[in-house]
Amino acid sequence: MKHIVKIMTLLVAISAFWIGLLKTSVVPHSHTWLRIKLNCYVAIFFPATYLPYCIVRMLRSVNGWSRSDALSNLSSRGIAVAAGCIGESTYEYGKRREADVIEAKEFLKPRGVGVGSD
Amino acid sequence: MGERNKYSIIVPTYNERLNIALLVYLVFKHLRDVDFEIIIVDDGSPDGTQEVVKQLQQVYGEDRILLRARPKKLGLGTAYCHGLKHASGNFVVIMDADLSHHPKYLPSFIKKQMETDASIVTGTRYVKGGGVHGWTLMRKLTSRGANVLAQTLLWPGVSDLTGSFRLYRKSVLEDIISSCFSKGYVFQMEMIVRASRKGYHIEEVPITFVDRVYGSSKLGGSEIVEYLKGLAYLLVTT
Repeated sequence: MKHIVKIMTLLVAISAFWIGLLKTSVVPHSHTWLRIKLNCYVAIFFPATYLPYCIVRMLRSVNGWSRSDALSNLSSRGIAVAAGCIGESTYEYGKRREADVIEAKEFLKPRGVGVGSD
Repeated sequence: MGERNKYSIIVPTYNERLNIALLVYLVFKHLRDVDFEIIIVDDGSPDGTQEVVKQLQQVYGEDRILLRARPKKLGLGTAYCHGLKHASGNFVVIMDADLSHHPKYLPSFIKKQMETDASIVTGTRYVKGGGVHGWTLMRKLTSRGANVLAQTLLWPGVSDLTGSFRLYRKSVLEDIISSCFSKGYVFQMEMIVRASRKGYHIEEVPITFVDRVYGSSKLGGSEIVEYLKGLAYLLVTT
């Protein structure tokens, strides 16, 4: 409930600020097109400000997940590092999993279990 | 490790003939000194998944591998409920059958629970040591962005909301699952958010989410819409 109150408070504050701006008569009522344009800017304003927040949040440390981890997680080269396979390339990671599959097949096939694509 | 506890691993399946044997083999490989059972809830797979499970029962024993089939696809939430009815362990692990959740992490889940006495241990991609493997950059950005959006709106107190590799105290899972109504991707998120709201002790362990070995997974526009609808629902109801 606490987070809902916070989010609602934020939205109400932003709305009140915007209504306040409209009521200050800085823009005369005769300038209809200008008012419409300003409202369009507001419609764009919310997503446009949320996007940078998302990016910052994505790169922010979460429970010890550092900025460098975030970056390596997003880069193709750093996938294996982010995947907890420090020093292991994607190729090596794939090979290791392939080894799991081969091992399972060697154990299960002689025992009559259908494994993988067999 | 885990001498007094018993772990019931619930694995919902649908057309997982190619993966299920590998998964079972790896679970037995990585949980050598642990008392556990694997409950496979198959929703009438036409590809012969149940035949493979029966073969596995011959190898490992029907007391270790339980096949609890259902006639048709009835949804993930009800699959967990169905599996839970047959679970004899005091802890329940839920994981995917497609090997995107590697069984090698199971010991770290158990260790973390024993160290912290947590009610829930959840696998997370978003702590140091965790990550994803085999995803395109676009999919990573989508997933991370969805998670950030959920963090912003729901404040759940856990770093990975949409993951489904978790260990629950059985009584806790029974309590949470009875209060969840969502389906699909949102179901996992609802479970952890409701658990957080109820004040259960939740711990995290880093996991690497790996794209499935056999078959393909999808993330399209309809999944994203469902996710956003689920977020709005959870924002209002939790």
